[in-house]
Amino acid sequence: MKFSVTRSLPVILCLGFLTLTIGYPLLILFLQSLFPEFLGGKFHGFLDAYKAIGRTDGLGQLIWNSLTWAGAVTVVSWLFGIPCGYLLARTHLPGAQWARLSLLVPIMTPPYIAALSYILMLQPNGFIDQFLFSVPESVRSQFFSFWGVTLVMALSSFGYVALAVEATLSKIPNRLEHAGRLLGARRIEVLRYITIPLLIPAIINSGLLVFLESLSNFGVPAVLGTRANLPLLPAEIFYLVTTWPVDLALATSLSSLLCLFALFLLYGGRWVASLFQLGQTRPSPQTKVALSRGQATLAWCWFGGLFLLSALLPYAAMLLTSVVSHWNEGVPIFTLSYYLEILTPGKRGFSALATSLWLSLTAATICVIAGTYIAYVNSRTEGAIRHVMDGMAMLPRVIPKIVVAVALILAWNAIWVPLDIYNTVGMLLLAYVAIYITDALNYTNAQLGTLGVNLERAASLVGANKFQVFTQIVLPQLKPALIAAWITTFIVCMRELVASVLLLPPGTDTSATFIFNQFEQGDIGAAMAMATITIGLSTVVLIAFKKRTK
Amino acid sequence: MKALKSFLIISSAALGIGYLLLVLFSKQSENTDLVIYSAGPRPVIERLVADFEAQHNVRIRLFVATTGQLMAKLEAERFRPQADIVIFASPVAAEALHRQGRLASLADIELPNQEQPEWHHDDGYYLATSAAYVGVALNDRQREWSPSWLELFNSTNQYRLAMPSPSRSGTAGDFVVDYVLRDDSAFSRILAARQAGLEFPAANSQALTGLLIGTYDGILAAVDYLVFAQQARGNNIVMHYPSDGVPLITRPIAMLQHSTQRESARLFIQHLFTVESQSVMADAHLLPIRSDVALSPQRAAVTPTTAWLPDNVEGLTHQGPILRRFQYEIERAPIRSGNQAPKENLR
Repeated sequence: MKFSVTRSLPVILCLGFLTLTIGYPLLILFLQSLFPEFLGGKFHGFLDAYKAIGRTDGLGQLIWNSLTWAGAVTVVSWLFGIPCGYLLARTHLPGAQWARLSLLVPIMTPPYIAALSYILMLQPNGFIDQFLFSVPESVRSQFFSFWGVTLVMALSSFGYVALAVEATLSKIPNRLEHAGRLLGARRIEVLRYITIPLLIPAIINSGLLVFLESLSNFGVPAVLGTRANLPLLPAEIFYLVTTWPVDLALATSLSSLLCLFALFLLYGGRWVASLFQLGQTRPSPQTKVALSRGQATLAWCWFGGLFLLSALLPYAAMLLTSVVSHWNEGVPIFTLSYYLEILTPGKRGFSALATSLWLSLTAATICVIAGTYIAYVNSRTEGAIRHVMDGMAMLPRVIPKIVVAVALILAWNAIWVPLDIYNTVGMLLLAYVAIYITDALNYTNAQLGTLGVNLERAASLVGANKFQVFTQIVLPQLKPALIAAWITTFIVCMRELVASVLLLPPGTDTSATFIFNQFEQGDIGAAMAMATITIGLSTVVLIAFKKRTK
Repeated sequence: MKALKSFLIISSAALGIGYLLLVLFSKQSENTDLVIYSAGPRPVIERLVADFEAQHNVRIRLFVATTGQLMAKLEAERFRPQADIVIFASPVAAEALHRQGRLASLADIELPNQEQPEWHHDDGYYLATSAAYVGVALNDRQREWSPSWLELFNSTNQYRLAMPSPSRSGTAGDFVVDYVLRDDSAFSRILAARQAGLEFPAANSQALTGLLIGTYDGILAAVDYLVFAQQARGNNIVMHYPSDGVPLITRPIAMLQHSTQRESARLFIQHLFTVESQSVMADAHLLPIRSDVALSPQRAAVTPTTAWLPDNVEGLTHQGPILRRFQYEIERAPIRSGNQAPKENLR
């Protein structure tokens, strides 16, 4: 085929977008780790930082811990999330809307706030001990261990899995399953030979998100892990960047290890997923299974139990702390002043909320629009460019966010950048898009795998142009995935902390940095009040969004 | 209808992106602004900045974060510096910048009075505006207990103790470096305390909250002004300074070498030494450098018997290895089982 500009324009557009938002900062970061002084015009110290990797104490342990922990979180998230997704997509679950919302609530909490709330609940003389019952010492020590930290992280991320599984399943016609049943297969056989293989792309893609999130997560193990004694690579990197003298080069070179694992997993995962790709399917009306009363109760117990552990328990601690002005001999004295303070228009808390809200709305929208288009162009493109784009989009998600923030500063504060983007809120938007576009890509990719090109070809044949094909054929089919992508991106932007702290222009706050600041000042009540309000606000936005998109 | 809908979606997205670009391009900042990076407490620095702006014709752009985050930001901006002034919660951080030659001398700046000249850097590269002691926060039930560090780290004491993780909390880090440099046997002593149940929560506030709700009986290496602030709020906790001495951690201000706003930077630095500014700091329970400013009632109630200024140069040289060793040998050492149960329910 002859090269033509119009034909390759979409690919060029996508590549340009990704290169500008992600590739450029990462390239600067990588060069900086090779030549620590290259932005100052000096090229000495080549590869020193990479040689220093070998001299890091206990590196093998760090890597092993990080990989096994992220793996464990992924498996537990699968166990929790896949049944939820199946129930939502394939059965007439009474109150499915609420069940779906219950999955999103735990994702809204900043993970370190959730971890802190669990500690407040479960530590000796904690809230459970004081107000409910005495926690058995064996449960406590189990909780403050590897598996406890894993459980907390999985509880805050199994929603990703559930949503992705639901989005994919609701697009896979259940004709195949019916056929299997008619031909005499038992339910379990249908599940094993038909449903699960069909789901594998979605399972892998969502598992990948959870894995990457845990691999780069620092908050949960930092807060919970002191007793669990779980040294992880991101904690090490965070330490290098925030203790003086700062060792940026080593932090970057260690981050590149994380990138290697992530790339390996991404391509491995995609390869496995491609083996199970269904190819094209014809859209067909979905019939859902009716649940008997007992089954419905059981299903609700599943959702309810997860909701109790993932939301009610930490939120109870959060709410309680947010209305306590001080403690008298361990007895709380109540107040609502934190809420009144935050909700007064014109005050810092209020403007922080407003900033967070419009930033997250904008970032989620850009991520979904750009992500969808890129995923679509990708899926209709052959060859290496596709892998390059996929890989590039995913890297910012796996590098610890403090390093991403540093990369963005290096790149957009470089002497050759003519605009003062760095000192504006736009910088934060750029960061959110760079970090979270991979979520949108992943959701859309999982969905696109199940769509055939026949409809598009048919549309082209009857005279539709490319734009019409995209907006009228592709987009409607992608709708469930797009909604899931928008929602999760919105939520994670609302709670993003680390990059925000470093990238915010002077004088601006987001709700997450507000929480962190109050927390640093020892004002845990105000921090928890803000966390509660942020979660409430996110929920309201989600319900409104769901109502609109129905 | 469908076409209209998608047209609407696309055009609103385009509008959004257009608005975004507008934001990006329009907010070109004045380059006569004074840029200040400061550690908390946030209300204090915000108030000081507002007062200064009211008195002088200088616009300030203020960025508040933890000392560690400020260091990361400064490092990332090294090749195109943005800040004119930095205020840290640890003099060792300032010393680190000075060692790299990134601070301008303030030796000739005119300050109202110099009652504590030894708080400043010897050659005037960073100046202390206020300070805080690092001691022990105790639960009200232990009001009568006035332990020395030796007793606190004694593995046979019957109390539930915690220290903010020195690799996460700057103050605890400064304390540990100083303590270890003064005493060769410190490591084995703290290790024994760890094995007997000493915990290392990730942050100061996490440790303090544990104290307030009764999980811990005492927080070691607690910085005093945070404890006083909790007292002022009505919490029954006690600040205790062990009799074998506590370090005084100064809060340095410095001007960066590349600063283009030297005049207003110097004005601002002088502003922090006025009675009014010093009172703002004292009201936030910090120890002001001026002795003609009244201490907060909570601070006035307790004074350490022995205190010293840690050696920042030594501190910076040994900080890395000491904190590393602490991380590996002590923080990651397992608590010996059986030591936890009897310590419960002391109330």
